Amino acid sequence: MAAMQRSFMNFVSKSRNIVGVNPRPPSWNMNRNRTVDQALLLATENNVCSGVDFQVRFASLKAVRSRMRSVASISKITKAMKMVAAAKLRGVQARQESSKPFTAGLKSFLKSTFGEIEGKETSGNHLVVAVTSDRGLCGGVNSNVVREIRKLLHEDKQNQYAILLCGDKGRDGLQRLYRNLFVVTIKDVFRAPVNFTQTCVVAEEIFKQKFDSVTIFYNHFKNAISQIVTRKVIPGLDIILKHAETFDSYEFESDMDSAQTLTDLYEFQFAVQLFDALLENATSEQAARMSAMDNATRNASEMYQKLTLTYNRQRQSVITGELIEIISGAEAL
Amino acid sequence: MFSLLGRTAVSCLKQRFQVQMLKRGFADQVAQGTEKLKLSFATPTFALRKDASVDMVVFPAATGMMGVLPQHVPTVAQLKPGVVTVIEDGKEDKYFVSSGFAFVTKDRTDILAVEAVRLEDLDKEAVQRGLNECESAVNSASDEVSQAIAQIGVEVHSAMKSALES
Repeated sequence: MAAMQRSFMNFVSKSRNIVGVNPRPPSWNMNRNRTVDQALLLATENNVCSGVDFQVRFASLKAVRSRMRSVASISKITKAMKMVAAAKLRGVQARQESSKPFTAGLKSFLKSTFGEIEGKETSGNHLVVAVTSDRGLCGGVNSNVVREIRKLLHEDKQNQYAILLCGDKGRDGLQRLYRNLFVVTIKDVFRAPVNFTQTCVVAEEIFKQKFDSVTIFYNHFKNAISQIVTRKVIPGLDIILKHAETFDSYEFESDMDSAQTLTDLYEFQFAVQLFDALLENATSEQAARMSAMDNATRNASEMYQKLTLTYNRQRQSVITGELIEIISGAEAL
Repeated sequence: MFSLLGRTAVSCLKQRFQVQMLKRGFADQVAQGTEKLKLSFATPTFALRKDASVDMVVFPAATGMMGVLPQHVPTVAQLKPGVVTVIEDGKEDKYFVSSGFAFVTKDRTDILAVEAVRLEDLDKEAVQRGLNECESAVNSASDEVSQAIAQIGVEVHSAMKSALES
């Protein structure tokens, strides 16, 4: 290994001697720089030939090289982030798949009962729950949710809205226009893998608010490439109790009175639906981050290739300039 | 020529057969469709049964143990801590559930439990220890909320204990 390194160094110094290139300009040039700059200014003003330019090019060589180094390190970081996001996506997706029977079990029951009630009343206080991530660099998931909420709030002028934020990125997007509508912000929802107990805590926070219906905005995970903003509307408890006759086709087995049973059932189904939304959003976030970091890595390597070409061109013109200087100096003798 | 005739003959036969099947189908639908119960028994993290065809399922509703056979009346049952028994082909599988809801509809039954474990996986000593801890927590509780939480713990642990003993 050391022998290889030594022979490589020999090769480099030999090539330096052949071509006469010194990556650092000799120290006496430093003192000339100010006068050189003035001369350059005059030269460009009078359209004189660019024999004086090569010292300016030394500086831009360094600039290009430092840019190349920073782009290379960025591409390493984004590549690592992509790997991490891919690993996390596998984990969350597995959890989401295994929780599907749980969240889907409610669907037929809900469609025949809550679905009937949902269309009946649309006015009153609405609570908007914005499910976003805490950290950025995840593509369009958060901005899509924020955009849908802004559209809803802009179009619907007659109802009262309040916003409950689950995740910091929603706050960044909505606080300019709708800061006065914020009620609660819940942070670090997605730091640990989403589980049902944590969802119940969030649901309890939601139940402390007064509302006639809840609209949950989240990203539905279709596949690793496509995540779609979805809107889930759940009527409020008061409306459900008002239309309790929709549940008459079902016999209720419970040791409490019917209003309490309905309340319990309502809270349970709300927690299940919220759990579904949070899990899907967590999966969408990882998938979007993976594809965003993949694009960033690709762009960074493209940029690196272009910079390499520029650097080589610059380097060759520096060498050519020095050669010309040496040769014309030798001829003058 | 013959093949064409043959094909049309067969398709005619098939259609007539299908029509007859349909006619018969309507009459026997109640009897034939009741062979098996379609069951989904799931927790938030994993599913114990997913669209499985079983003979019967017994779960602990708040009003007592409730058995569901195919063609049960549509029901919504709140679960209390207890044992869910899934009977398929004569085999019985027992699981302990902490709470949840069961939805029985015309086509299927869904049991959504917050937590479920196989009865064989419960450890007797751990259950007894938990029961003692919760009972002492009930006595030393300072406010209503923590007392309610300790009470729930006592309920679940005693249910586990009686499930293991029976």
